[in-house]
Amino acid sequence: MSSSAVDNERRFHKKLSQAFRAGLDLPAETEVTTLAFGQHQNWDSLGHMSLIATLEEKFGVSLTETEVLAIGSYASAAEVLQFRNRAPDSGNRADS
Amino acid sequence: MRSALLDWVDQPPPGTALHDVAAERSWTYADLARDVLRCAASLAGPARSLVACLCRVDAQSVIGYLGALAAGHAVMVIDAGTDAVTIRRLLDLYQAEYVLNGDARERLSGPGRPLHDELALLLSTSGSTGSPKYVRLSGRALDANAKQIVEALDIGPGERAAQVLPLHYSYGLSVLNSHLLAGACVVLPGTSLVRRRFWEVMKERGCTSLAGVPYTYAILARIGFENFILPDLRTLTQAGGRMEPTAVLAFGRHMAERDGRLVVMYGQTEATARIACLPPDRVLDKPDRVGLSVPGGHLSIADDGELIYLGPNVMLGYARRREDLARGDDNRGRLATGDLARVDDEGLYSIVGRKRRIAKLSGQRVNLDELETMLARHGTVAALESADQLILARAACEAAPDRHELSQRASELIHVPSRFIRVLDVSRLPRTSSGKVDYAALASELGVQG
Repeated sequence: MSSSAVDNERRFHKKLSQAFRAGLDLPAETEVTTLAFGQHQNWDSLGHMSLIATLEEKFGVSLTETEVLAIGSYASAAEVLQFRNRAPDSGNRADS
Repeated sequence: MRSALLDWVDQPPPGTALHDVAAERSWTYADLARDVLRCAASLAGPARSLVACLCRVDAQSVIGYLGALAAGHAVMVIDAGTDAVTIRRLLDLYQAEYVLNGDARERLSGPGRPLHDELALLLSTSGSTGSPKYVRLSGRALDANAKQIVEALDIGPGERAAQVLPLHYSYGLSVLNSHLLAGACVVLPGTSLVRRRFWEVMKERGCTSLAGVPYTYAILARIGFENFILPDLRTLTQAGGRMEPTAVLAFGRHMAERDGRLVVMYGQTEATARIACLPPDRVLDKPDRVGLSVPGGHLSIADDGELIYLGPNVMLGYARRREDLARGDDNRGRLATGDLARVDDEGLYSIVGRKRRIAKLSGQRVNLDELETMLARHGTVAALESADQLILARAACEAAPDRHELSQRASELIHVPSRFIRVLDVSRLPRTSSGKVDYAALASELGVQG
């Protein structure tokens, strides 16, 4: 990986971590990269909807119904959003 | 005398009573009767006790709740997710003799002060908050409301309800009670409706009904519920607060397309759970109504516009501590609901506002006047509800804490996530001639619905 790719990766995770803390109402220092649905009391169905709205706002995307159900952990959110980053509008998987 | 809810314990009907998906286990009525009686035996004692049941949506909690009732004790249902300090405070305040938590049974103290003979159940008035105010319900009221719900919804033994709502919440518990009374099945899905697994469970277990609060419907709309293939689903019920008529219409139409129905209901914990029901065939032309009283109840409107309910499911009264549990029937079958209502020429009721300033946020009731008092040391704050959010308006003042701090503080006090709270600054709070905050003027000034 080139150094700019490493930087991008770092920036992405910083932004995603912030979005998780904002969406799930977690204190600033909370480690979120290991979070999964139901593993923290704030990540219940209500928290989930708030998280989804926050991810959409911070990443400027609108998540599909399937993606809303697919996001169940920090890792799966990262996967969904990174795929979106690579294929912003076209939904074209071939170029990644 | 054993409650009608437990009639089946002596002669269990055929069929499955419970299916706990996480435990990968089903209980026939005979299995459940055996486990309930075993639990009751473990709680047996010379005197009636108060049994605190820490509830999750699982079979252990159901067995604990029913076991304590079967032993003739009074049960206090508490959200198992409540923090330990709050639980301890409640147990002390009410001097519970036993606490049930999953498999664990703990004897806490010797016999406390006496319980009234009729007392069967204590339900919190405010969802999962740690408020010590509880509703005292008799076994009679529990039985009556379960029967009213069975009749209103025509629940038969073939029904399989997905238990989405928590058991410590009156509406959630009433799903369990009514289905057990009908000899039907309750599926404990072990996951949330925002997980794909939940919808697989709905399909695999052939769930016929789902009970939700308005927020549940907001979630269903967001996750594409209308495209889900659920061949057995026939009934959606909605209670727990007013749902926008546009959402009622959308789900009413959708369920009609599925050859099913949306049943809009109105209820209060003070009436065990449910009070009124809109006939499903009226959902499309009168989506803003709560309908007619459940069977055996009677609705009327007082001179000041308050909705009054008379019925066998009305609470005995409130409690704030153990001493109150010796009290008898304060309400005598009459409940002043605190809601302002209208009735149309067909006798269908609609709720038009609240007499007291009680907000309903994500299904939890928040007394806005009490909240203002609790926040008073952060300066004068006016609390109002708009579009399912709590609005805290405050007059600009130098010493005021920052917005985030104020919303955090309110969030901690009322146990409502801060995403439901908005802090707005105004130049001054409008007041009526008597010096009270003029909430209507404030709402229009802020451009929010009053």
